[in-house]
Amino acid sequence: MSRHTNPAELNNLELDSWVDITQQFFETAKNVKHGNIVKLESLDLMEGTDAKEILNPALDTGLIEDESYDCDRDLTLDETVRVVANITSCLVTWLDSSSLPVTLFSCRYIEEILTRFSALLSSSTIVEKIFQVSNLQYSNKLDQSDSFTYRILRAYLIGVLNFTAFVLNIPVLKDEEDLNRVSMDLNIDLLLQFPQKDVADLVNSAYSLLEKRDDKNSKVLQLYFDILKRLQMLYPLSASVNQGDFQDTLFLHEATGFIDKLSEENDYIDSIPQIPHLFTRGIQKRKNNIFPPRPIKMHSFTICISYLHYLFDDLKLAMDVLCFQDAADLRNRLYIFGSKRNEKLPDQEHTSTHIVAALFLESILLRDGLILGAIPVSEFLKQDLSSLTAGESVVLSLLEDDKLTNDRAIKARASSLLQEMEKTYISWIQSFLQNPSKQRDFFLDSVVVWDTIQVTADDLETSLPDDYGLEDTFKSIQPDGSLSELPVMPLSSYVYYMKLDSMVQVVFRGIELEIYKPWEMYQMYWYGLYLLSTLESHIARMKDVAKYKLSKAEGESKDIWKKTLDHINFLIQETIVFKTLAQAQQYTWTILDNLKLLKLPKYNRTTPQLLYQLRMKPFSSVGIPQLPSIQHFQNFADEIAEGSLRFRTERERVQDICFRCSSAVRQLTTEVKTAASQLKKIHPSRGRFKADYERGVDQILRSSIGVAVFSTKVNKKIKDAEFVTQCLKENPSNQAYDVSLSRAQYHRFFRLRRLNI
Amino acid sequence: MISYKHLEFHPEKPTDNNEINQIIELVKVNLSEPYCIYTYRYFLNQCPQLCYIAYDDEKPKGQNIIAVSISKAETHQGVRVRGYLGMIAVDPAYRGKGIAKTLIDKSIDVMIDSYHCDEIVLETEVDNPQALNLYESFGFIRTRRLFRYYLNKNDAYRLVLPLTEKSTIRTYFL
Repeated sequence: MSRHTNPAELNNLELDSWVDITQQFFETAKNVKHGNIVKLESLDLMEGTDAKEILNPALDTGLIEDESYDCDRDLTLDETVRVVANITSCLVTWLDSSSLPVTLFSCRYIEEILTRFSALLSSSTIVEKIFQVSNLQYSNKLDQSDSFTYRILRAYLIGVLNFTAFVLNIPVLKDEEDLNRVSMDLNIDLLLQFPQKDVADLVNSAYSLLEKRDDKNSKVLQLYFDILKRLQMLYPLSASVNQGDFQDTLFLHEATGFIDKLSEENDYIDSIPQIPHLFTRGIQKRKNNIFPPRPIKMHSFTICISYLHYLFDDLKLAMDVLCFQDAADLRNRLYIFGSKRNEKLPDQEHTSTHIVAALFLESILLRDGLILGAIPVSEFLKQDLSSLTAGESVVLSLLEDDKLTNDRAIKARASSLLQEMEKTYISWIQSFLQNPSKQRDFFLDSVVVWDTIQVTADDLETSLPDDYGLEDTFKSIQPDGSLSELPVMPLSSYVYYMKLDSMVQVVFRGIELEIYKPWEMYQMYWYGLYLLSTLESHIARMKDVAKYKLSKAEGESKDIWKKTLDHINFLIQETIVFKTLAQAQQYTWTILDNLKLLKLPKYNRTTPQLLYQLRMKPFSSVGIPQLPSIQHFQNFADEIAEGSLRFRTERERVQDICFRCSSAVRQLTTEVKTAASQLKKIHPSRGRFKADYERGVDQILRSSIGVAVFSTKVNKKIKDAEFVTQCLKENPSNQAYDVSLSRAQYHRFFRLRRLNI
Repeated sequence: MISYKHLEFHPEKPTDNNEINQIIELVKVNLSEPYCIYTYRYFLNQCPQLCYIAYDDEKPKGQNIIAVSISKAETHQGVRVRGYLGMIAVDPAYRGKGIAKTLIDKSIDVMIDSYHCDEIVLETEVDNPQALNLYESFGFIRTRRLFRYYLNKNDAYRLVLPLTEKSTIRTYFL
């Protein structure tokens, strides 16, 4: 029973059947020596680690000083602006992974409103009454006062709480670190039960009052309402199944304009003093709270403005993603959405799209398990298959077309396989809507899943010709010049592509998240390059299939295969760009490794073999491509060194290796430039997605130039025999040479190493 | 003169509360996360051998604890023994003397020799380069970045030191 148990609950407890052990407890406790642990064998102390320790200021919310605030005090216009500005800052701060109690709920007006609502919930008749906005009861003054300021405040607070409830109720699961839902038993969902029209009327009526006034305060308040009204426009959209509705992003552009105007009021808003005791930690003490005391979080006005831009910019992006043409187009748009980072915001370089935009997008894109709430995922997956490996292969019709086969066993196998693929495909879509750390985790988990599915797909497709007479082949020229007829295996080929892509994502997103230390980078680029080469070979095979099928196709079928081939051409070009730059990066790490500048763990308590195996653990169980051993890596490194064996001294040998690598880097970075320019030309998207993609390619080019410049600098340095000799000393006494990674302005997968000499 | 020993804990007699209080105070002042008394008790009762304490022998008893490392070791998912470095705190006046390094070293020794750990795991804030460099100098590698892991909203890295093959094999295959 908690100290918050209300009388109604007490009556339901059937206290007659309870036994009072208070006295017995205190008597027994007298025998416990201070410092002893008393516990049942069956209890684990672990269960106590979440306990909140009384009288510990870091854990006991009861020690928070309760400051009183009169919610019925008169507010000046300036003070009203202050409250509205703070509430808006609290809203954006909550959406920046803070909790409600330390943001919005820290406002006494909000607490008052929600407390009254929650209390009234126990009486159904009153609940019915409060649904009528005219009867809203949140504070005597707020409710009854006709004063201008309270009418404004009333509308803004209800509007913001309504938006908060809207966000909390978007039917998508997100982790607590992304969106904190702690509500301290305050029933914020009730706000959703008001007819939206009533809330909109309340906000509009306050807005009309502001429009009639010419004073500065009212103009500023109007801007806040303008922004709030644009947020409210998301509500009907979130329920829409009509893709055309997402094309109209005018209201989001308008919001951006209002935010810009509001930003000009920085000096005025900063000049309004804070209202004492209005935003406090008191709610953490007064309401049901299982967390330790935490300070109030409220972004400054300037940061609030940045976050509002972040919110609306990403909502625009989400809306644009929803206007995709087909599965292939959605694939390209999701990659852009999932790659967006907010490096302009403080400490946010590892934050992806705004949480509200991600929630909004996911809830509409995957509503009720259907794409856009209308298209079965299975149908959409077939589109995706068609755009990558299947064109219009017979296997896509296996389930529906009884002319191909009416064998129940094969249909059941195909159905089961497609269901597995569907689940993983949904998870793949969701991965782009997560924070960057979670994105990598999603890809990491999917590697094993795709690998397992590939076995099933292989089994099914290899049995089709012999067991069911369903043959699907293509002819391809082999490396020896001969022409071979090979099975297409579109499902297996698709799954293999998805698996390889996930593996590439895991490796390179590890670079983005700074998972690898400099001494690991050589290995990781080497392995990344191995994966990219495998991926390139596989896409080349996909291309051979598409080209062959296109050459045989007629009519509509020709268009389908043409589209598939175009898509594959783009993918292969993109892979070439990444592979070439990865190779250039690898050579720079070869240089640093040979100069012995990659410092290994000083007090290492394990072996290089185990470290390598742990690093590669996510890929260790993958059948194809098999994980190369550390010996493979060593052999690769040795092969590079072999070309320099003719030199007499170690210094000369290392200098030669470095010169050769440096020359290779120059050649490769030139190739990156050519390949990237070609990539820009063939990117299939239009409009903003093409522009966003091109910005990504520009970052690749910047990384490539950075690699080339680095290589040139090192090349000059290597000519200095003394420098190389110093580097090669067993235990260089000086710390003059330090390798670190720099990320600013470079592509997130191709961070630059900085050599401090 | 600095000396090191692990916590003496006997279930049949009360723990030296003075030592426990000193440890708690040291952690409270030097780490950002607030821990309740049960968290300390959980670690100290579970694996007192893995609570390593550094003493300044020239200071009076009751004020002589200058650093502590608190760890545990247990079977993880029924397949491997995992050591966990929970907290390390060093009095700022004694930093830069290799005390944390010694505490980690000794804890790793016990985890290997007494508990036969297959791996050692810990989490640390991404913007604590000193701590990261220290752990990574022992061969710990970052396996995951944990988004907004701490109460202060900072991300964490999960660091793992593999000690046996078991650490490098997916749980599913063990």
